Amino acid sequence: MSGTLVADIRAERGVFSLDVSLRVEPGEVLALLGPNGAGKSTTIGCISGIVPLDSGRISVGDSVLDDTETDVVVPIEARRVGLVFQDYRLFPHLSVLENVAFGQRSRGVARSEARAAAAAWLDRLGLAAFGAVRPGSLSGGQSQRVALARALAMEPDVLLLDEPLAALDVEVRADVRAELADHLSLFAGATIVVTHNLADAEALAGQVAVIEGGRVSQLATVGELRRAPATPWVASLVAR
Amino acid sequence: MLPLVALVVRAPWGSLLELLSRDEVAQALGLSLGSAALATAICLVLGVPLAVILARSTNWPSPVRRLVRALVTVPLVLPPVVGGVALLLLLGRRGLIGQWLDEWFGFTIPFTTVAVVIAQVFVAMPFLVLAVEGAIRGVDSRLETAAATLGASRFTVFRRITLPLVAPGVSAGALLCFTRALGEFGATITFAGSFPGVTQTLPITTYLELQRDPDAAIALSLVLMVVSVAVLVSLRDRWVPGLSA
Repeated sequence: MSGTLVADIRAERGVFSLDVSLRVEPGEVLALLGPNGAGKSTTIGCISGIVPLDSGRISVGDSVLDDTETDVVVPIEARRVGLVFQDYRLFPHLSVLENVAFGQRSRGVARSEARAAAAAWLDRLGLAAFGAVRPGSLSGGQSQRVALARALAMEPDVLLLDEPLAALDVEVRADVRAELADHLSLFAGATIVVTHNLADAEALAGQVAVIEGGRVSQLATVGELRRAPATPWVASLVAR
Repeated sequence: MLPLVALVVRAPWGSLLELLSRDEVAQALGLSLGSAALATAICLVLGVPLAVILARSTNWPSPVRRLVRALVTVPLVLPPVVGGVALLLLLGRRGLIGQWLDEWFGFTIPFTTVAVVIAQVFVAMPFLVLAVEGAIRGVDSRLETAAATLGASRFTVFRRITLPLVAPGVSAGALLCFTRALGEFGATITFAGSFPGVTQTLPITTYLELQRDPDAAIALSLVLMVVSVAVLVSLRDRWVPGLSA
């Protein structure tokens, strides 16, 4: 079941305060674009349940993940939020297939069924040949695809990607970016991609929410950002 | 190194097989290997949960944490003889607990094979607990978080992520624990005595033979040394987990 992601997030971390409101429709990809330390990763940390909210509400369709007014806090493992980490975080002691099957296995799906589903995802993402290998022997681009397959195989309601291309070498980055854009279209739910790179945002997302200093400073398409940058940071980014 | 060289140089190589095939030697060797293996198994059963608790105790008040850690580590720094005396005072026929065991069940522990195993567990446990605790602390908590986002409960995370990642630490700890139990002398002779076939383990036999038949003592020392070196060599391989991505 996928629905519209609606997030009103307020979180204090020492002197830094985050206050953002986002709305992402099913099938839509929103890019969170901003400088380092602007609160992009904290935002998706809140949606995935890793970072607690100080106040606010997060919901996907009819299901509420967080609501500080009614004291609803769904634990991390009970949210159906797929998260692709910047550093991938593949389990080194499990095969690629077992990594991808991990989500369904954790939710009590039988081993053979979870493996079959995982194999289908590997196939879809062009990883069919790598099922039996350990993640340690994969390239950066392959690891990223496995991390994506692992998140998609848990059949999430929402998909979050934290700087999915940042750990890749420059030579492969453009190829992986194009592949990733294709693969994101396989997912029917709301998707958020965190990036600090305009080209990544343009290739992967329709809308862009620019986050600076913990606030959304502009919500627009990349074309609109180019034509009418609302802040000096956006202006310098599009001028590059 | 020099003492070990001396041991190898002076070893009675010609009569080694004859010396090691004597009945009392075979008996002591069997008793030592059996009791040390049992002690290691008991340390695993008791020590792994203890290590988990210690590693996850970061949110406890720090005096409590330090006290528990000190209690776990005490047998490491305690002279083994003192450990033996303490075990006697606890489990001896007139000991704190021992007197009731004797009165209610007619069961006395000192100077039995059970006492040998208890003495070995007492001195060897810290090696296992500290090794496993270190391994658990070394596990990348980011992987545990990733597992949680995939829907794994805390128990599933521990069983499928944490435990497999600490397996090399557990086996290293178990090997250290086994070696320490195998070499145990002071607490054993104090708490369990030296009855041939019952409590006379290899180190005790070695000590006694040194006064009777030095060549036999050297041969036994050689056996204990070979076991220790073998453990050391196998640890060198195991300590590098080969798991890092």
